[in-house]
Formats: sequence, structure tokens, C-alpha cells
Amino acid sequence: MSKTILAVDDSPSIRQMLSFTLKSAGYTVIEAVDGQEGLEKIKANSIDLIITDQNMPRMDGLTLIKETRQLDNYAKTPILMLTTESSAEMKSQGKAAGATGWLVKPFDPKKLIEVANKVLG
Amino acid sequence: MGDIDLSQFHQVFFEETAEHLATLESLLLNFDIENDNNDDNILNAIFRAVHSIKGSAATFGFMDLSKTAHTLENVLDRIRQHTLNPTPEMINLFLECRDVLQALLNYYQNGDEEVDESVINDVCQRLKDINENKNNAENNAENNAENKTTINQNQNQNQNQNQNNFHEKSQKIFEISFAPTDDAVKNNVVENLFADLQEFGGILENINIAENHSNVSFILKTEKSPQDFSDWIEFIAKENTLKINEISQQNQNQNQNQNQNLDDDPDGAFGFFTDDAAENAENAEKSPKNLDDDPDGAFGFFINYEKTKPKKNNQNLVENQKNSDDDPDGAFGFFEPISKPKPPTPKKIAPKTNAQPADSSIRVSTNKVDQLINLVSELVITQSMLLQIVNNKDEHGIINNDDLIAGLSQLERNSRDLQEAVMSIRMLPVSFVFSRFPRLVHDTSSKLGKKVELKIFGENTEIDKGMIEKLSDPLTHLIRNSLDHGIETPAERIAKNKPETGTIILKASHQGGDIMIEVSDDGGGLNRDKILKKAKEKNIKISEDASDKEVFALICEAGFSTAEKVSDVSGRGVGMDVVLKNLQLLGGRLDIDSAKDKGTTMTLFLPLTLAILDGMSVQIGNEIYIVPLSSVLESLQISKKNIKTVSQENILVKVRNEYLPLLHLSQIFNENQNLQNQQNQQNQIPSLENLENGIMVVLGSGHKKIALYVDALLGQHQVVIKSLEANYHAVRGISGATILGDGQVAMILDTHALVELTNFYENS
Repeated sequence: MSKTILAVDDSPSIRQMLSFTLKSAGYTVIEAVDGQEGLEKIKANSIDLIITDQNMPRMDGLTLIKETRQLDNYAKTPILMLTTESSAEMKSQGKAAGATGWLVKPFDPKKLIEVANKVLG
Repeated sequence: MGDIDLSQFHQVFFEETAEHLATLESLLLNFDIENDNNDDNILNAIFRAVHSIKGSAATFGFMDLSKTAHTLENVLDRIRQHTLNPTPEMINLFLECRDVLQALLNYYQNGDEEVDESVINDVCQRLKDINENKNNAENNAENNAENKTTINQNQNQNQNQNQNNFHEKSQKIFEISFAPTDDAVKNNVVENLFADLQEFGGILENINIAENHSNVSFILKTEKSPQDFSDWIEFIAKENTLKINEISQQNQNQNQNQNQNLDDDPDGAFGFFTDDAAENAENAEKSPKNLDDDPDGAFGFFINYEKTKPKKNNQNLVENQKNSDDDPDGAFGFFEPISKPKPPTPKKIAPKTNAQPADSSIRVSTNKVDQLINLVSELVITQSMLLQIVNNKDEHGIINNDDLIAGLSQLERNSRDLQEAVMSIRMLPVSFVFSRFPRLVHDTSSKLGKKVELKIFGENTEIDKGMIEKLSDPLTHLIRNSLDHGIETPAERIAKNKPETGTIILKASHQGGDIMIEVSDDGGGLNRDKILKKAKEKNIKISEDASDKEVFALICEAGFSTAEKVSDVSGRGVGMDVVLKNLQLLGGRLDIDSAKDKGTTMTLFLPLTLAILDGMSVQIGNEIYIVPLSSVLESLQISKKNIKTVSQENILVKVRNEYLPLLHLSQIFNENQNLQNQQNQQNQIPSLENLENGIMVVLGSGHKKIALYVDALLGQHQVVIKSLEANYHAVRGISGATILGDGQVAMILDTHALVELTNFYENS
């Protein structure tokens, strides 16, 4: 069975692109429009990798990561942060929240697959 | 693994960006600078709109969009963090920047005119100026925050180079040298530059200033790209002396630390977080993982990822191959063996000339989609019902005809409903046109030095998509007229004892069988004498004692303008006749009402050929009629003593101390009494006794009211209007027909015409 990736981003185009790219690499992709919906889907499904944007309405990415790490089954699940700036500040916050890694926007779809393969491989 | 064609996501990106830009505009226009009580949610929403545009634009290769948004974002970020106080000038600049973004979007999406680079640079430069002024100004809170960051960075840098790979990796290292200008040396600007660069998040090393200040060199570590700071240095450097060399990241890393976690991306575009404590112990193990890393470095991991085993690149290849083979959705055939990375999408994407973007998509509310799904499921149910009827033969093998006919008529109804629902997708709320006017009023009023507030009502009124596009120009003309000629200057208004701020009201509603759009202002009003004088000059014949309406109608004559001077806002004398012509093309009409110093109201009436109407169904005789809900004021039963008979045909009813003409539809619809004698008996005006038993529905059109006699109120529906003209012929007093749930046809009453017809009977 293919692994399931949750893609959380408030931008429909980025979401579509994440989803399309990852699906074409053979993964099952679930989409969420913000942290809150992401968290609901994390609870409702068994997710193997979470890719989340940072700046979103209702619940941002950092909060989502923190909340996810509180969940029983998600202590070790890889979480990648999508950020537009690779600032040290953002990264240290991401690390503190429990993220596994980061991916800077704009990213090449190939790179996305590469990272996903690496984390899930 | 091949490249994924990003252009397939462009349409979504365009729509999304257009939406963000619209949000941005309305948020900026509603921004309350004076009271500074903008809550953080609004500030964040403004920031997020721009931030999202930046992120998506960069992803899809629209670099100038992304860069411009980024520049705007930087300023907005400071406002969001309350380290910069917005001024009206800033808001105007933000709006201007928004327009540049919009123009860029239009260029990419529709192939509109290309945006001149100087326009982009100009707006960006002014945004940067705001940011830099702020840099120079003293602001304790901000400085503290900045200092803290710098200290953190320094600590990281000094303490554990190998641990903070997520810091270092994102940074580029530049060797910079330049010869400062004499002025710069004199004014100690070089020191300021260093301070600015540090505040910008850069780390300076090896600062070397020649004794005679002939040359300055230093090493700058920063996440920013040279474009971001080269301007600053160039500003204080002698011509052609600035040299910026990027030092190869890898060399630098190796020089700095042999144990560097090579898992991470050299450009800092990605990284893995490393567990600090385990770092040193694991360094040895990490080395074999090098080959696993992203050579371009667009991602990274924060911890030494447990599952990651040493892999060779060719192993990756095999694995990737396997993955794409494993893809259950074989339809995705995009993956080829790994090839060289394709160069990033070109900076400007040539507009697709054959595309028709304006028509390519339509936004539909989820409600309507739900309605469609509902109807489709009903259709499916009917289909299975029919199947069952056909299979359900009696002992003689005969199908029950009545059942079959009932089933078929249900099928017919279903498909008709579905058809109507699909048609209704073409209906859009009028807010699609209205949304641009707050900006128009904001810009124009400040240009004219007037204070004007725009109030919008009924923006959810739905009108046909085709009409929306054609309404924009006439409404723009009317609002500009109100701004330019209607609303007086603040001084004039105060002299007239009016509030300093003028008001323009833009209102849409269903009025009888029409869509009514009202543009009214509380300005000076139309000047009857001036119009008459002008008419004489233009040789337009009109009698001196013509009614106000007739006089006002003159302003719609071609070339008629009473403005004393032609302004660039309006008043070239081509406005109103164009408005009227456009309106007539849509089958609409214009009503002008004005009073001196009270203001002017321009009312546009548009037919609602396709509109959905909120209607109240009423029974009169044997027929069911639909009364537009918007014109129903109240419904009541009335006692005999409140009914006054003026003549046989003219009856007045007293409602709340007001005498209203009573209308029974037989008065206007049954002129040919011989034709359907039977029905006439039922439809004739009931006796006083019966009137008491019936119900009066009070209808309003404009300031006129009538009481419509009905036998019963049946309910409230949303009905889809069918044109009567297309299927039969126009009937005065009826705006259209609709098909009720049970398949019956019901006429939709045209309140406006009914009121006029009643007055006609009253007068005759």
C-alpha cells in the first residue's frame, strides 16, 4: 500500500501542485487548507508524512506541528515545514516545535519527490 | 524522473492571486488609520494575502510578481509587528503596489499590456524607502528585538558551527569590497552601512578599512541575495568600485568545519534538524550519508533522520524508478529517468494568445453546486423508479401505464429543474461590479480634495454574468459624476450646513420585475436653470415649464455637459449619453431624481432575464401568481369599514391611516370579458363581504403603494424566471413566468407596472 502524505497549505495552487506531484510519485495524498483542518485529518487518518505551510489562517504550521506531536501515534512521524524564508528564526522555531525538516518555497517538484522518498524510503 | 509541467497549475494560481488582490484592496480601503484600532487579525490577513502571493508566484516562476509582493510584504510585516505606524500615504502606496501586482497578473493571465519594469522598480523603491526610513528612526522595541536576533546569531556562529547548520546553510557568504565616496567618508556613512546590514540580518566579518578610506572590504554572511543590499553599498561607493563575490558555500563550510552535516543543502534551501546532543557522536555515522543529500539543497532535515540509511545515488534512482512503477494511478506518465534539472521557468512567460482566460472559468457558490448534486440524485432516483415500473409487469405482461406516465412526468420535471439550476450558475452577485467602487471613490475623492463615504447595499443581488460585465462602465460614469459634480468640497458643504463628508449610496435590489441599481449622493443636486440654459445653447427644444424629470433627462443628450470646466475625472460631456446607450442595449432604463442641495439619485432599471427571484406565491381565483418578495411590504386582512368605494372600479382601502388603491387582477387582465366568461365570474372583484375574507398584500414601488387583493397566501419560493416574451408575448403587469414544483406555470407579477396601471385606473 502506498504511503499517505498530508499536504497542508492555504494556497489552492500550491496544494494542487503538492498533491499532483506526490501522487505522480506514487503516494496517496490528503489535502488540508489550514492547520485546523490538517489536524482533523491527521487524527482521522494514518499519515506517514506531513508537509505543511507555515503562514495560514485559523491555525498556522508551527501550531499544527506542536499539536501533532502531542498525539499518540505521531511522535515520530516526519513533518516537513514549507517556508518562504529560510530564516534562522523560522527554522529554530520549526525545530523547537518538532519539525523534521524544512523545504523552501519556491521548490522544484522533483526536489519535493526526492525529499519525500528520502523521508519515507 | 522528469519535470512536472507547472503551467497546469497556473489557472488556479491566477484565480487565487486575483482573490488575494481583491481581499488586499478591500482590507486596505477599510483600514482605519486614524483610530489605530485595527486588530491584529486584519493586519495578519493583509500580510497573509501578500505573503501567499509571494510564495505561490515564486513557486510557479512569476519572479517579478513574487519580488514585488516580497517588497510589499517586508513593509507589511513591520506594520503587523507594530514597529511601523501606517500613514494614509503608505496605504495609498500599498494600493499602488497592489495595482502593479494586478497589472502583472493581467499580463500573465490575459496577455494584457506588459508592465514596464520602471513602474515595478519605482513602486518597490518607494516601499524600500519606507522600510529604510524606519531603519534610521529610533525605535526601542524594534532595536531590542533586532539586537536579540543578532546576538543569537553570533552565539550560534561562535559556539557550534556544526550544529547550526540550519543557520549557516541558509546563508550565503559574500566577499565585498568598494571605495567609498568622499562624502560617505566625511559623514561616517560607512558605519551606518554596517549597522544597516546587520539590522538586515547579515553577519559581518573581517572588516577592513584602508587607512585613507580609499577602500573598504568585508565578508558578509546573509540570507539575502546581492540585489537586496547592493543598492545600499552602491549608493555610497565610487562608481564601478563595488565588487561582490559569492564565496562558494561548500568551500566555506569545509573550511569552517570538517564535521559539517553534509546532509543539508549548501544553499540552505532545505535542511534537517540535528539533535544537538547526539550531534558529535553521530558525526562519524553521518558521513556516509553524504551521497543522500540534495545536491541543490532545496530541503533539509532538522534531526538526524533515523530511517535514513546510507544510500548511493544510483540506489535512489532504482528506488524512484520503482516508485513510479508502483504508482497505482498509471495515468500519470510524467516520470522519466532522472535527467539534468531543467532551468527554472523563464522570468516572463509569454502570454498565450489563443487562450480566452476571461471565459475559462466561473466561480460558483457551493450552495449552487449542492443544489445541482441534489437534482442529479433526484434524477437518478426517478430513473430507477422508471426501471422498476417497466419491470413490474402484471400477469398479462402489461406495464401500468399510469405509473409510467407519472414517472415520466417526474423525469421531465427533474431534468427541467436541472436545466434551470445549470442556467442559474450564470448568475453572479452584483458585488462583482460593486467591489471595484470603494477604490474608485477612495482614489478620486482624494484627488478632488473631497471627503466621501461610499455605502453599498444589496451587493448579493444576483444578476446575469453577461450583464455584470456591461454594467461596470455605466456605473463608473455615474459614480464619477457624483464625485466630481455632485458632492461639494468640504468647505462648501460646511457652508451649506451639511456634514463635511459626503455620502454616495450604491444599492442593488430586485424591484418588481427589474433589477434596480441606485446611485445616489447627498451633493448639490442638478441645477434646473443651468440645464435649461445649456439646452438653449445647444438648440435643444424644451418648454420652460417642463417637469423636472423632463429637464433632467436632457443631461443624457449627446455632448451635454454643464460642468464649468472639463476635469480629468468626468465632464467631457460624453458620460451620460453613453450611460444611457449602454443601459438601453441591456434593455434597461434610467430614472433621474434630484433636489437642489439635497442630492441626486440615478436609478438604473435592468430586466432580469435570467434572474432568480425570491417570490411569494399567492392564489387569486384559480390561478397562482408570484409576487416579488422585495416589493411586498405587508399582508393583512381588512375589515369592511376600512374599504371605501369611490366608483365601481375604484376602491380604496385604509391601511394604517393611509388610503391605498385596491387592485384586483381582473381589473387589468380580464379586458376581454366575453372570451372566458366562466373564469371571469371567478375573477371579478369580490363583493365587500368577500373582500373582508380575502387578504390585502401591500406592494410598494418607489414611494407608491397599492393593495393587491389575493384569495390566499401560499408560500415563499425562489423561482427561476422564464421570459414570457420568448414563449408568448409581453403582457403589461407581468414580468415573466415560472414553473412551480408541481409543474404548473405561474405568472410573476411586475409590481412596478401594476402600480402604474392602478394609478392609470385611478386617474381615468
